[in-house]
Amino acid sequence: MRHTLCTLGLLLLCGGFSAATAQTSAPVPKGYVSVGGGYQATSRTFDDAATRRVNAEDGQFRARYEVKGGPLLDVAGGVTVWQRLAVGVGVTRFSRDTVAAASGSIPHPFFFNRPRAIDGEITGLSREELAVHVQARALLPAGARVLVAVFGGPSFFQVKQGVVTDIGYVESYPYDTASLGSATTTTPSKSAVGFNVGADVGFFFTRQIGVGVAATFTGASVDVPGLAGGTRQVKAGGAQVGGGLRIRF
Amino acid sequence: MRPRVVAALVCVVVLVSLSSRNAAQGQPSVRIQATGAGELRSWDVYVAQRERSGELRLRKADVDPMVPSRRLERFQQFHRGVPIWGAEVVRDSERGLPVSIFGELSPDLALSVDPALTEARAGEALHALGGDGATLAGVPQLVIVRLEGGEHRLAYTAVVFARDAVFRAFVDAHSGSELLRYSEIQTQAAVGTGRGVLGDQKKLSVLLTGGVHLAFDTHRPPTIQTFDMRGNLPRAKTVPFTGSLNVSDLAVDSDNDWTDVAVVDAHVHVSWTYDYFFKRFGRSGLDGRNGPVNIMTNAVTQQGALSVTVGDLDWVLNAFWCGSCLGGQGMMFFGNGIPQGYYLASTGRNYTYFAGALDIAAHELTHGVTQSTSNLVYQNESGALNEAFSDIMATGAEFFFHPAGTGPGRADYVLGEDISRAVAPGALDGDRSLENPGLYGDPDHYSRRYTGTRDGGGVHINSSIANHAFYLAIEGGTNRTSGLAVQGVGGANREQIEKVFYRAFTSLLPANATFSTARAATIRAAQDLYGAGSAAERAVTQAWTAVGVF
Repeated sequence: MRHTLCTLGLLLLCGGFSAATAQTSAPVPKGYVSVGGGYQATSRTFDDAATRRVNAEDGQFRARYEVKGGPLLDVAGGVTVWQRLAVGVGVTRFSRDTVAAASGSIPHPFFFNRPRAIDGEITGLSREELAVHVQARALLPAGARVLVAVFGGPSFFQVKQGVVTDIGYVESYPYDTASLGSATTTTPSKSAVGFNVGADVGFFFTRQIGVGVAATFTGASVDVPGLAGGTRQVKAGGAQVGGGLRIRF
Repeated sequence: MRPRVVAALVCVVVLVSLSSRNAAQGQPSVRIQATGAGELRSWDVYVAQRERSGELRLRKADVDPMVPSRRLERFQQFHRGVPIWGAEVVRDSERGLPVSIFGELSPDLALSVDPALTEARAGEALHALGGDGATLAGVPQLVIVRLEGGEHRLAYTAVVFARDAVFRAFVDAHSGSELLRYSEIQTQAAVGTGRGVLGDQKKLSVLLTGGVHLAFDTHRPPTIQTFDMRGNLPRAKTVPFTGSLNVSDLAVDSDNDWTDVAVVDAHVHVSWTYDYFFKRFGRSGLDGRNGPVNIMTNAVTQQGALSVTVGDLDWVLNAFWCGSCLGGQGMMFFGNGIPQGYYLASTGRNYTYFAGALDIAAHELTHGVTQSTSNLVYQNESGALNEAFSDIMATGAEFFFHPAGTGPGRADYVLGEDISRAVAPGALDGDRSLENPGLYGDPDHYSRRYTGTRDGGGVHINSSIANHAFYLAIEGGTNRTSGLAVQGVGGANREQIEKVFYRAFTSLLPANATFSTARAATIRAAQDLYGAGSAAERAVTQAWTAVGVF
């Protein structure tokens, strides 16, 4: 992945330089700031499963999570360090309530091989992603009012994911059925290093102020507690589109 | 340093010290008991604020098991990232609105959360509390514990398994001295496993207490307990009749993998019979009110059976119900039979553990049901009906739990075949047949009834007449004596005939009922349950006619 990103970044930079030299453009800004919002389009699902001894047999417990896309906040800034190459830092924050579909197979207390199925939804969980993106950015003025930028680099994610660590059930005599009774949840905060790549097009009304749109792809993986007391890998980030205020100076 | 600055610093130090000491010393807890709208709003805001600050953290979110539309949230209180032991808030909400909030929280603390002891040193201190051979359950956890008087201390805690006790202990996180301990021995429902007389694996509902498992059902509504007399026949013969048994008489197993086949099958088969009555008829135990069910096993071991007197053979070669035992609670006794290779000359059969036959267990339990309902007098025709009802319910229970077929562990119309095996030439497995009573020398028609005085007027003999009527009403067929054919309801509808007999024998029959009354009552019961002219009514009527009862 790292090699792919480096290659992609170099291609973007080289392409940008050659494109920029072919037309008359505004000068390359010394720095930039962008503030805006967007939408994380990628939905993530992940599963967890565990086996626990119940009533002298193995009971099965499962949780399936779906983290849908949602709005995000995006702030970035940087300075030009060499010709059209800038370095900067961006921050995105994504937050979304999530739901876990819990299910299980609960052995009968009186008989072997007569499990009872339980299922239900666990609400009240959430996903929060705070990512700091270190970016190498090629700034490519396209005429006096348009500034195109392509960027990429490592990202430092902090991910909070609400997860179910235990599933409880309710049963009563004669125990022919059981139902989902409770879920023990936790929201661990985990850090991971990932990546970001993207492009930004800004249209400037003045020499310094404008608006822009961006398309970005970020990604990272973190390990969170699982049902069995182990860990479960969760992917963060995804495809993001957004727009907002653009400032160059 | 200037004097004014020094004075100010001293003041600050003193204030911080006082504040710290104040926090560590006794302070009233924050008690939340909010159920009214106004207080709910303010406490809900309080919880939300504390949750945002990280002081309260959601520990568990449940669907309210009693009110499914509600959501129960349990918040744990933390101080600088360290949990305060037992400090919680429970919020019950419906559609996002709190319905009640209860909590016991510690006040704001100024307690340091940097322990002087490492986790390993704390483990050593906790381990020492248990003495030689003690172990810890997991690694020590750093917590803040509130002591008597309200003082809060930074502590390590763990469950200590000592030689003679299991307790949770807290030691000071700085000095390692003991702060608090309490017992972790609590009784707990458990499910054990064991093999029965036929070698089949079963689950047992038991009680875990003090590290051992007792044959005391913890899953069903009534007390169902199995006593193990451990071969002490003199005690078995006296205590149930004159006093009461003790917890120490209960069957016990250390690892919950039960190996005493008599205990396993007695405990399970009686429990299954309770289930059969509940699920088939909605009956709550022997007395209909979930009264206790007592079982006695191992009055005489199989080897010990070879040396008992003839007068004590009932404790070996029988299972019986004693309604007056244990102060009228009643008790079921299961003999252990005789070793393989031996047989009873009068029947040509070997009898092993009587508890091993589900139908025998159900038969005995049904005597308890009869005692608390129609109380059929145990002689002559009413006594035969009493026995017949036990056989009928026993057969019903067997078909309820076992697959139909022949041989051990299969449901059929032979009583006791799982533990009563033919050895001598010409002998038969089992004791009685509902399908063909004549095989065992019992009458299949009223005209062949026993009219002597033996066996209480033939209660175990003439019961076969009603038994056979029950069989014919389900399976249909032709009575061998009368030659009359019966159109049964079929095995798939056996529940109908079981319910008809259950209703008649528990609700309609008088204590001195005759066969004729039983006929009338079962026909009436069939009409009550399935309507006049129903298949059940027709089958029952034809069956009684076929066996010569009018």
